[in-house]
Amino acid sequence: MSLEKGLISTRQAAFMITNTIMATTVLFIPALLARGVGHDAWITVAIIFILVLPFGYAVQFLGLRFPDQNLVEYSIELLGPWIGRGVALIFVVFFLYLSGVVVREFGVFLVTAVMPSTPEVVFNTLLVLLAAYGVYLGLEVIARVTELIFPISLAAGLVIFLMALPEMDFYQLQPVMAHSFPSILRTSMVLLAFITEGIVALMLIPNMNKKRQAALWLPPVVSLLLFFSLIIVVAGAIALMGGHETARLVFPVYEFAKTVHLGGFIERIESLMVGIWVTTVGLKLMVLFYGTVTALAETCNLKDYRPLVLPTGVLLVALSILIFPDAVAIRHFLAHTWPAMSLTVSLGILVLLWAVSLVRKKGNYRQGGEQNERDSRTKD
Amino acid sequence: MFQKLRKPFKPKDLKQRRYQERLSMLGPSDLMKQPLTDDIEVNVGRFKEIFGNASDLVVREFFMGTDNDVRLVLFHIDGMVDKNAISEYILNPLLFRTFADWHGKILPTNAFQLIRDNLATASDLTASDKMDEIIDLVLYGDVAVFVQGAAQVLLFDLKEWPNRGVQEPVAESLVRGPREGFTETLRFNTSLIRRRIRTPRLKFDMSEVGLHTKTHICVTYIDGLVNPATVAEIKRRVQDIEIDGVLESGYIEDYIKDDYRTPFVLLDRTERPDKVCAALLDGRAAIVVDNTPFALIAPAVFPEFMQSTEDYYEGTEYIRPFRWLALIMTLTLPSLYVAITTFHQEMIPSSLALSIAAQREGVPFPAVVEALIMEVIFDLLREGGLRMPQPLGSVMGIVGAVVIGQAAVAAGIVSPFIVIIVAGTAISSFLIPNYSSSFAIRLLRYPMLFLAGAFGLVGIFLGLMFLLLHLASLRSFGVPYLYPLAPAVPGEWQDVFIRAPWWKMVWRPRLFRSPDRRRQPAGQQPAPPPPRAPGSQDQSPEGNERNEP
Amino acid sequence: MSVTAGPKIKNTVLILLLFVAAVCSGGCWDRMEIENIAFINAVGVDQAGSGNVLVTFYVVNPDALSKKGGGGAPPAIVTSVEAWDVALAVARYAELSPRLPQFKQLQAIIIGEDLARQGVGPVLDYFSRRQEMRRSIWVLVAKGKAQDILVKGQSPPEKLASSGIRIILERRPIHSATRYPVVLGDLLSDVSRPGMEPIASSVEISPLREATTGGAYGGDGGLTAAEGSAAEENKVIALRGAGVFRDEKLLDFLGPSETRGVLWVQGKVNGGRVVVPAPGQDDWASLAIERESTDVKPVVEANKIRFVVNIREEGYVISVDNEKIKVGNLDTIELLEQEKQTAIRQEVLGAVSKAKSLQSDFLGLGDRLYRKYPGVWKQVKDNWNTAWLPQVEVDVSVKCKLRNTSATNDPLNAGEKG
Repeated sequence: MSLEKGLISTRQAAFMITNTIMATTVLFIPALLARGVGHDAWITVAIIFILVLPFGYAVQFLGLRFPDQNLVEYSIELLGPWIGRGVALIFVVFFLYLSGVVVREFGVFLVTAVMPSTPEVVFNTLLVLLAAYGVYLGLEVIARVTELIFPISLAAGLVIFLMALPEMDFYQLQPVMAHSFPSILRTSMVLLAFITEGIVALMLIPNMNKKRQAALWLPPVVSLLLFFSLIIVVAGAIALMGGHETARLVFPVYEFAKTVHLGGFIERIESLMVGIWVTTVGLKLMVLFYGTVTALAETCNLKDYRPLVLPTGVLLVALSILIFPDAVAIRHFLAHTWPAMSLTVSLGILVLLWAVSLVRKKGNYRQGGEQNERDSRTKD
Repeated sequence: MFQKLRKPFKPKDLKQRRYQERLSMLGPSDLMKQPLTDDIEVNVGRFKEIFGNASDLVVREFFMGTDNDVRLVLFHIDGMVDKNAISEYILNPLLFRTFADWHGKILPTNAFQLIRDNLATASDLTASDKMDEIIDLVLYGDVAVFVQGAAQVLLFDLKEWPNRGVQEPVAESLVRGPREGFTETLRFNTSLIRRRIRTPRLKFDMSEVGLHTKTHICVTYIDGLVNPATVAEIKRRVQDIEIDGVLESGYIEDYIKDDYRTPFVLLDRTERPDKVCAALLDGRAAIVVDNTPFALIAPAVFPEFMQSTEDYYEGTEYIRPFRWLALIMTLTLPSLYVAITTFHQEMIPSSLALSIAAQREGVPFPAVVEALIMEVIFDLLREGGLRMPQPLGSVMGIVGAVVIGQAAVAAGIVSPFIVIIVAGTAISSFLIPNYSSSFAIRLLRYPMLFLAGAFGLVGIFLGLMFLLLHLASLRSFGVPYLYPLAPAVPGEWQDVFIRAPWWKMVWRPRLFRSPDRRRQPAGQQPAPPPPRAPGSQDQSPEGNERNEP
Repeated sequence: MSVTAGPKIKNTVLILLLFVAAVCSGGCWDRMEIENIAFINAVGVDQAGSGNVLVTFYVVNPDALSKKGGGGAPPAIVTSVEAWDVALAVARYAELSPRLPQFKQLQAIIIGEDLARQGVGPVLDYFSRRQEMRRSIWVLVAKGKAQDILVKGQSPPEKLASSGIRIILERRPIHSATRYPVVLGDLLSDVSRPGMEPIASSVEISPLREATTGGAYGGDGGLTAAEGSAAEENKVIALRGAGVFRDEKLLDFLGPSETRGVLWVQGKVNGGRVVVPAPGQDDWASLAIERESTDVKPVVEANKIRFVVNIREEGYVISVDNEKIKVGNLDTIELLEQEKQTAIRQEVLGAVSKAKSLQSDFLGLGDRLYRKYPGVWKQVKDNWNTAWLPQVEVDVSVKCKLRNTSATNDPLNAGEKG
């Protein structure tokens, strides 16, 4: 474990993982789900919640089997130097691609929602710059800032939901299960694809403090947080606007924020929400970026990942522009291509590593892990 | 055939060599390194040679014993010594009283020992045989007495020099609380601390820093309350300082702080002994520097700069949220104005939007520039107000700024609204108790303004993120700068966002890693006395009305 | 930055400076100084000849509202532009206006009657696609031309007609509830919702009644003498009734009581007055409505669809015309309650019959059917409006409670002169 000497507490890890999954999901999911199954989209969330828990545990315990080792390290150990490195490189490319998608997604959001005349490149660059700064400063810094900001953003989201509550008509969620179960299941794969972005947690687990004690409660807490936020967003959007409108709009959650109307002067505060989104998506990008750079550095046996930050950043900006020709392509990608890609990589590699580790009887979470078992708070 | 090439000089090596040469020239000379001899002439001669012709070195030769057997030479620096004390405690006993009692018994062989043990009446008396130590002490105000026949010198501490006296600290005055502040004399400062913390565990570890100034630095801590690693680290950093002179604690601060690439303050500084003592009780360490009333406190974290000492004596529990609000306002108010009026006009309630639009008619500058101009004017006036004579000073600064603002409005350079915004910013910056951190925040307004002018609210949030990331990456002597916010320790937020009553502060702050974490037993909140059992004869203050007819 | 700073710091600073310079000099693409914006507070869209639309922009003039400017300037500048569609009209307007028109502070969209009858789809599409819009903008249907309303309509003492509209629509209708406030979001949702047809508040201008002040419109600080003299031009914007649609096309307007009937079914009544005949007398009593709750249940029987509407309402007595009505009497109260129930029932039935006659389900009955019996809805949805709706039975039952009689019990002279 030579690369990152930073320690993060389990609470920080929980926040980081939840934020990573949630930041862009919340933005895009309602429209994507509603396009599939209209006002039954919230059922999708409920279904996924059942699946998220085992996924979380699988990730957690895989990490625990190799407590001091990085994902790259133990995939080399399990699969041999060449295949292991190959798998690690797949991860690197996956995270990089995902980062590019995230940057582009958010750039598109900012341009269409807030500042239409600004070229997207500008926002992409700014976002990558922010993420690069965070990654450069290290994991601990990202963890601390997430610990600060994530609860605030959750609270803000909750407040907006509560303020929009009078306008909501939960009647619009009926009739339940108007759509066929197979189509609901198919649509829920889209959501699952977003959730399995959490595989990046594998890069964080070695740095967690007291990971064994946290192993039991961390996945449920993350799942619950995710479930509540997604349900609120999806069900709220449908209640507010109806299934059809939610599907028609590109960013239904933005409309959410637009409906807030309080006391006659707290209104039209959607730009504040956008600002908070900037922070959470920035943090998500930092985690993904960090995963990319660390895995890459580890694969190439570098002593420090910092020199890679700036070049990867530049690459990321270019990637974000080249990935999609236009905004419609993004939606198409997210709805059709991305589920297959994400699920294959994350679940596939997860299953692969688990299987090999069981077969070869490598890795035991009962040993090891003491190296990092100290108070994460000071580095005397 | 080929000449042997000399190794090429690296510029770094050359510089290093030259520096060492200079140092050795300035360092203690050979004269000072030689040990003292028995011969007083040699010693005195060396002493005088080292001092050259110092105009404030006072020499007093006198003789003791019958037949003036023992010659003594007394040196001191004029202006640093209490001359009456010299007469009374050195010259008087040695010259007069020996006449009668010790007549015939004082000889060069035993003179030194007699004086030291029996004759001198000064209370603070040491002996030394190292010339450089003697020189140091004389330069600090000691009186040196060379005795014939001794290879040692007597040093009397009879220091007296003009002193400001203990006054109310200027920059940190309170409404309620002690009005004592440090002075420029280290020893008085340590006594102020000692008076408040009366445990033998209070330690003052002295050292000297500065080639020419040899300034006394005192690292203060309560042994058993402070983390030993922290103290060791502080001491190590202080001792590693190689500088030619230390005039103020700020010099030290620059050397020992963890990160120089930030405008934020990583060590706290204060003039108040009670603040230093509070820090010591927290499990921190303080550095007291001679010749300056400002002591340093390490480690220091950011939320501390939102606290004022007065909070703990008098003050509502709820002033602190205002301070945090003020912090945010100071940082972002002008940027918010610019961002909202330039990019997000829909956020303004309609009537206000129209009013602002009407006010900005005819203003030649875009909102960013307007804000920038007014901010700069205010800052200039405020800094200028600091240098003005006291009663006028800061009041003039702000009032003058507002007046100039109005004049600018009348001239059509800015709109009236921005004057209010900027005044609000200035006023909220006053709530930040620590001047240097408020300076850091005020400095950061400008990049924030640029970001807001370029990208609106998105820019502001980006700027805030950059700032947070930067703050979270700072450490002060191992403690993360945003503690207890960043590694979030909710149990300690009671001292950050509100000021919890004292009976609630059971634990010392965790990250200072004190060996003794518990401050006080829990559960001491005030409560009315329990009701008496009826018919009992207690003499409670409530009286016995019920029993009276 | 001292000269001895290493190359890394120098490079960083250089890059940052470059960045700052680039950003500041390139101009920030979206920057709009607030004084350069024309705030369009209300927009009206009408049908113009040969497939064009006539867009009326109600733009606020900030000078007129500022404290020092005041007086002479008109509070708003109303411009009408004809173009092929709304987007082009905005572009044409921007050509003429030195201030950039922005919909950021838009408060109301008024659609003219003739355009509405043709179909509001294209207009709504424009307004919903722009991100500046929000779903809380009020949408109104004009009786007549929207242009007239914006040009001639006033809403004293508000200087701006758009503010007046907004304030009236936002206000909880304590005194009357004969309008149907609809925001853009609701309208868009209604268009796409199965079993629900859109409905929007209707607006018209009506002459100001001057009889009360006996002559010129004096005593009102909002209008200056210059405007006051053209008193016969003063029209007040009145928000009354609603316009009902079918599939984006306007069908007809509802009268005040029919509108309230729709509100009863939707459960949106939260204030108003009902005048009921007093029991046993020829006179009337005025009762107030405080709040109500409605429950609509679809009941599917063999080949017949029925809706059971349950309304529960609370109110109080406002005024009584005849001193013989002993309001302090329990029996009287009960009788009054029953009269109120009848009145409300009639309003609802009136709305229902209008829906049937217009063959447009703006009450949302089909929506309720869909939510409860999706299977049945699938069968009937294709010709719901034409075939099924006219045949549904609506059973309305109302329960009223008069909570109090305001400050006094019996009317004046009730006891003495009996």
